[in-house]
Amino acid sequence: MSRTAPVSFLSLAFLLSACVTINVYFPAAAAEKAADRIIEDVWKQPGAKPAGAATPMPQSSLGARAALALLDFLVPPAQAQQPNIEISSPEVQRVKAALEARYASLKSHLDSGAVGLTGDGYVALRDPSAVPLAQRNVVKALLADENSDRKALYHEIAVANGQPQWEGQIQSVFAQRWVAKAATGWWYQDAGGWKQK
Amino acid sequence: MKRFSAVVLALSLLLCPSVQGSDLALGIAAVESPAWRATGLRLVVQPGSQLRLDIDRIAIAGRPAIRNLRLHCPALVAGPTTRCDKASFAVWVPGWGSLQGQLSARYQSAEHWQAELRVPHRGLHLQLSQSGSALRAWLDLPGQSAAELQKLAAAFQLVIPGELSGKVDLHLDAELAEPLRIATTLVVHELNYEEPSGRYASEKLSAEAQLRFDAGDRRWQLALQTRGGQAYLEPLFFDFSALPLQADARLRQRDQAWLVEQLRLVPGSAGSIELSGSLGPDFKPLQLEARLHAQDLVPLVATYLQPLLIGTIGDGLTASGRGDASLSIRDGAPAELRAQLEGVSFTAEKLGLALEQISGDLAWSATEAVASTLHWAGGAVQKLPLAASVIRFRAQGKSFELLAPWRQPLLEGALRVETLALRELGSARFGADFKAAIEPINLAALCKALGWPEFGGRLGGQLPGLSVRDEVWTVDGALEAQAFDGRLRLDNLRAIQPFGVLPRVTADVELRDIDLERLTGAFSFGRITGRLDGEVKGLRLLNWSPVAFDARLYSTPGDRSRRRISQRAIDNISSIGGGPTGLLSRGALSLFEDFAYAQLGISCVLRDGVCQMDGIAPAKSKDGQQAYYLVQGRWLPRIDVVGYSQRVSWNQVIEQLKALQASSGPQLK
Repeated sequence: MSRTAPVSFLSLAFLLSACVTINVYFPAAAAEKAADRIIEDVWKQPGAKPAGAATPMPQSSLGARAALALLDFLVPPAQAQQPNIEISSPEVQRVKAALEARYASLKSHLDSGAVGLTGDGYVALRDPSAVPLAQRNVVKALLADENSDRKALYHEIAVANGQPQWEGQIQSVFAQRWVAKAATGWWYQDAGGWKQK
Repeated sequence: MKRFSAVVLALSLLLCPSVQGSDLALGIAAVESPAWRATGLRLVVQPGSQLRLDIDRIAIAGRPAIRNLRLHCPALVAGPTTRCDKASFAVWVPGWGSLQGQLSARYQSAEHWQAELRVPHRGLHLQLSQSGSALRAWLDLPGQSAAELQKLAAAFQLVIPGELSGKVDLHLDAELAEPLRIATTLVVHELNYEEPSGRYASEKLSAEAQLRFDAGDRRWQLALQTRGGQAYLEPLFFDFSALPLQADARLRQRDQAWLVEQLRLVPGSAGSIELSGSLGPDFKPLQLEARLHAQDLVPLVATYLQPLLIGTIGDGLTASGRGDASLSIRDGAPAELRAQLEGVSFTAEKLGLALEQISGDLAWSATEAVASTLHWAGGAVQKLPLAASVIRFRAQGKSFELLAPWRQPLLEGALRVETLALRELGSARFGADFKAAIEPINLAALCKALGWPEFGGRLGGQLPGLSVRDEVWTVDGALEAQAFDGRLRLDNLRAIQPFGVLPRVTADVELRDIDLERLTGAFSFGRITGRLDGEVKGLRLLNWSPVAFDARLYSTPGDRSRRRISQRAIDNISSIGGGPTGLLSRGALSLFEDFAYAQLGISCVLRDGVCQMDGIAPAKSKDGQQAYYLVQGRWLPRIDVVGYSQRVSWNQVIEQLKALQASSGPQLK
């Protein structure tokens, strides 16, 4: 009971401020679902269920959600729709298709451990010695292309949703989902360095 | 310890009187010099001039280097020259383990002595000869395992990180005097190396290197000849089996800098690279003259240039042909570049640019205005084929300017660039003057090259300006075409991130007074007569395919020409609108070949792969479905085509249009 007090206070505060301000918060859960859909397609893991528990929402956005729900109840919503992340823009689809096409060549290097998933949503050469000498520059070029496509993906998703400033948040969501969906044996990077799944 | 003692006989020096027979033994606890220290020495002189020397440990530079040295000379010949010809020794060396070998030595004085040492099972042969103040060392060490040499080197604090395997022949000839002179020959056979970071590696590398160093004038001389195998020096990958490398270098160390008297690289028969000048202490070029003679650009570009372009827009570059080039670097910055090209062809995959048979002179200078002239036999930009052309320009510092109008023929017409001047290239203050015209090109050929439906006619126009901002290239002016007896106009041409991952082109298109009879004839759509207007606003092309637009096509208002539509055209329009086909070919209506119409039209708002369709006017809704007229009939028998589909997949529309073109004609039953 005592817990609802700050929430309703927050709701009231939000209600008052909502008269003049539209706060667009980042729909983290929807972004996660969108990322999963893209990653499943790119890595072709049909039927794979979202691994792990959903990340807890930051307290502030929980409060904001509650406030928004209250607002919807009191005021007929102008744009009352489930927060959604749009990924059907032709730009997003095209980058996704490029990532899908490249996965065939990238997979063997992820499997061998030569390439790992970085903590910021990209891929990097982790163990060059696992790549034959003559192939090293081929892999380097592959990673450079993959990373510029991934950067474009994060950017274009933000743009497709009319919120270019979300790029960084979308990238973080992807960084976490690539790792969560990685196959067993693949390497990923976290604060402590390279780890194997 | 006593840091400054030269050779100190320390601690205990004791002569042992209690020797058996007539042996004479001398024990010394330690002998020390700044560079080395021997401990536990024991010298025994036996009857018959036999001599034994045991040393427990010798440390070099504070590190244990040699242990358990046991030396035995069976006959020491005394005289003006003391000598021992057949001494044997055993010693334990870290990294190598125990060694047994022979030693012979002659000693006249501290200024005059020789020693020769052999370790047969290691193949080691060492000769030392002191003459005056000069000590000459000659070492031959063939067929050594690289991994064991690495261990040996590590024991002497010369750590080579990573994994090594293969064989090494080492030959050293050194004059250990003032000034120091060393000549070494190093031959490696099938050397495999992997440096831990992965930046340097070799596989089955075979090569011979000769290095000379003269401390007098601090001159280094290096000669290298590869004999096969591969090497990776990030980002360069060398396959020496395919392209051997011969390198010669003469360098002098002067103060903190390096003077490059000559550096010459000869990669196979592909050409040569020569460098001279000076390098800073970090090997950064300060003053440098480089000359390239390329006999065959294919392997040179693949080995020495393409790897440097990975991750840039230039990645995927291939080139062929011959050429000479020179580059001057002054005060650490490029000052001048000149190149003569002979039949050079290149393809820059990511840029979508290819030119064939380029010849001419290319020049750039940081300060001077130098002219370049290049001509080529053909090429392609994206999917558009280019014909032969010549360009004259001036490249100076960060600016570029055409010296004469440049006419690039393409598609039976040409792009004629009157003015092209670029300033502050690659900086935030980048600016461009651009004025060009398109001399009417074959529209059908353009459409074909881009994989579009082939719209006949010729396209031309004036492009009076170009501006670049935030990776968006905006072309001023409009392009116009006379097509199907009407007019087509392209406006607001923009290229978005033309060199990025997602290059896009946007434009507005306007169609006026198009003769439908000719248009439908060209696309075998089914005959329609009359005139058509239309607008395609906000057309966005991704990979030359439309991904967004607001399009509207409609009968030209006020047009008084005969408006008839054939059965087949009605069928086709009906099928695009998602309706049934073949209705008219049955029953009484099949007697009529075509029908009069009042007006026709269609609109489509394409977003995210879905076309929001509409017609020319709303029709009566059926079962709650909104309806619109695609064709409004006139007179009798009156035929109206009414569409109900609101949202149609764009891919489906394309498939249907393709199917229409592929089909042979109406099927009358």
